[in-house]
Amino acid sequence: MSALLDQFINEARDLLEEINAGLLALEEDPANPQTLESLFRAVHTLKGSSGLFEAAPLTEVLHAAEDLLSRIRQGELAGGREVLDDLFAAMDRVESWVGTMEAEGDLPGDAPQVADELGGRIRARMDGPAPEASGGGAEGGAAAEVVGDWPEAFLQAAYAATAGAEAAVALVYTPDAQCFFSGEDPLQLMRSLPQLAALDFAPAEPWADPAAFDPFDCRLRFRAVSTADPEAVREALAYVADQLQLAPVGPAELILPQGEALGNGEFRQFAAKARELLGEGHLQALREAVAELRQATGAEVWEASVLRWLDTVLAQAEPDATAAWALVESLETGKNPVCDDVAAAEELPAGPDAPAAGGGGRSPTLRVDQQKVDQLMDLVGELIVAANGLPYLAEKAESPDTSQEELVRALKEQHSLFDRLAREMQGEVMQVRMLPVSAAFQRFPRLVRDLSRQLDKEARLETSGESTEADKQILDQLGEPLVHVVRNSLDHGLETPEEREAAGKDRCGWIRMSAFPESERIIIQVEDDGRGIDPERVKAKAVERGLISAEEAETLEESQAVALVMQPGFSTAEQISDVSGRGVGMDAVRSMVEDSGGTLSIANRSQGGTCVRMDLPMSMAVTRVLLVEAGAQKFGVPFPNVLETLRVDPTTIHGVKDQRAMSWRGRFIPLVDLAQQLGKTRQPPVEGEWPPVLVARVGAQEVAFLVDDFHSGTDVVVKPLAGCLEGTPGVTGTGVLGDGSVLLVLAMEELV
Amino acid sequence: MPIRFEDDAAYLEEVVSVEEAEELLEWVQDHPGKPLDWSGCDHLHTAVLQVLLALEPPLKGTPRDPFLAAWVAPRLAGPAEEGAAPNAHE
Repeated sequence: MSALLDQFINEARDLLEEINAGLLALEEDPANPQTLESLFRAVHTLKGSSGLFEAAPLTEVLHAAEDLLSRIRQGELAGGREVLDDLFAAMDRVESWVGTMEAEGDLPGDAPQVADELGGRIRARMDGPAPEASGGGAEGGAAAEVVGDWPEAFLQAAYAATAGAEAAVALVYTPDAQCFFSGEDPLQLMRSLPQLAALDFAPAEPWADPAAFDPFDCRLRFRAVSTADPEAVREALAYVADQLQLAPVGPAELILPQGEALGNGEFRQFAAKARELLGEGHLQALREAVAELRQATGAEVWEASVLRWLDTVLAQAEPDATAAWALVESLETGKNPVCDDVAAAEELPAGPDAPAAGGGGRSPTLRVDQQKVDQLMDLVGELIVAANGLPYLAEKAESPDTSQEELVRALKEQHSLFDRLAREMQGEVMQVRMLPVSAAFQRFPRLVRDLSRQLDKEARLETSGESTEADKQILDQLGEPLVHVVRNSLDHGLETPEEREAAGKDRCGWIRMSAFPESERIIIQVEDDGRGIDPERVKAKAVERGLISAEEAETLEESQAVALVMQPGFSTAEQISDVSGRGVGMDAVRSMVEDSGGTLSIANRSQGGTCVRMDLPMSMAVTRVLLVEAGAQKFGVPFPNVLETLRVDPTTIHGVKDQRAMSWRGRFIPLVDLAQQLGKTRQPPVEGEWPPVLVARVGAQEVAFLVDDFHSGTDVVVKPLAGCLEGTPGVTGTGVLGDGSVLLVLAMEELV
Repeated sequence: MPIRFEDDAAYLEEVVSVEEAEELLEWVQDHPGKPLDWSGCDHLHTAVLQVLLALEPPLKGTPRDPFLAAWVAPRLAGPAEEGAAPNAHE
């Protein structure tokens, strides 16, 4: 692969991530100009760089997307959900093509046809007649920009005129001051507007002195609302597009009470009464109550404006209940009403298939801060200088004049220099390998979006602690287990909106992913506010599956029962869904996490829902181990497992048959002979001395290990066991000690 | 002639174009308080509309054109209408 292509692929991936994030943000806030701007730029840049390669189909798709975004950016088109779905689909395809380009250096054979289809679909959106068909509610920002400063009376007239209409367009037309000289007649243009629902005009600035009044200096500004197709409106005004602000608007978006709020308790009392009347459907009584209160309220205040709006809404032949409720609520909150078009949201089509769980077979590359590389370079320079010192040392050693003492001192000096450099370099390299957790989190907003649509659930993803750093390898290995956990939460944890409503919860559930460091570990949690795990069901299933006996089940505490879902062969999903029912249960997740040197725990949150917690090492490259001796051999125990080293009074060790236990910090914990577990024989203890014991954390419990002796702690680079040694029980890997001897590093979990 | 000027009133008829704005302005300035009858009007150019808006001459009648009657007349009512009342019967 050429270096240029290599660079393009890396850049493309970064840009695609940016684009995906931008599209998601756009879904939240369809008219945010900053999002649109950065999204457009990212697509534009990617299109530009793709032109350097023989990838015409890819460029074609991006070009179409760019054009579409450009029109949305200019407010000429609404970015509804269908439009975004097309863009998502296009970007997914581009991403997979980038993968193919990386692997095969070329696009797949069907690329031109696919590009034609995708590009055609996107272009059809642009030529498509009705951008506002995607639902008026989605256009909040754009509409507010156009109608935000309209006078109330006109807004109310416009509301009344559009209340029954399916769609409406609001526009502000400020003709050029000199327009009469180019033969324009703005009033004539307004006359030509199709399906005019409301029209208002006023001088943009007050008239000059009547004596100096110039009728040919056009000062008027027109405001209009039409219930016609926005394209038709646009067409009618095509020649003055540059003097036009135009946005599709839902009737509810016109409800913009104005004025200074009194914030008076009287209105809150009224709101309570109004709720009652509204709830019982006494609209006429409510209108009367509104009229009464209006008389007692100064016309200028904001509350009076809300009341006038309420009256306007109720005066319609078919009053919009949602708007009325929102207005009543705004009397309580003191904020302008937000009328979401819930109905439109429910009519959305099913989402596309969930994106593939994995990253699509990316080859591992690492993007490194230039500064870090520069520091490494400096260290390498020092290392070369230090190495150049060695020949002098050799010469010195050869010389008969050098005393042994002198030589030793020189060697020690040299060693300390090398030692410092090696440590610093190690530190730098570790830093290079550290990545923020956001690298592992970034695919989830999309996953949650697509999955929740697929499952007909409403879910919101919250993330925190994305800047927490962890070793790249750990983060890479974390991706898959996290996907399973989040899928599980969405599929089994969160209820359907109807169930949630029935349970008195918000229709929209949440999933929270958080990361934070804890001593030398990094904790990643996935929580949800769903139904939680039913311990009774879990127990019943575990008994049914033969994982535990019925008697055992009775004695289990809730937390222990919940932990059963991590047992191999456990799955409580009543119906195998295509989301998480792929035969990958929590046991697989657990083994994946444990492969990364972590532990997995799962529990019900006291406030409802579940919490899955992954406790992971921050870095894999170097592990700090405690050296212990058992059966006359040294072993390494990873420090995270070590709780305490102590010597115990043999009389406090109790034995029942061949099980032994000792008391530790007021508790009884099992005592295990480490040498015996490793198939060796313990050295006979020195007469009169208490035997050394290592208390270790093994999974969620503490276990005491009887050992021969303790040695120091040390850092080793742990290499996994390979070849025929692979899978040796009790050993996670090997490290090399300073004296060149090989150290077996223990997997404490497998020794109990 | 789209505007018929008489001593105590002016009549806007059919389509009042941009060319008439200047002349109308002068007449309104020379005949303060005298009404404009626009009941025969089909369209008036924006420049003419500006004259009506800025100088607020009393207006008489309702234009026969529905667009003007629906959207322009209400906007020109208000203060102008009150002034028009005394002169409503020529």
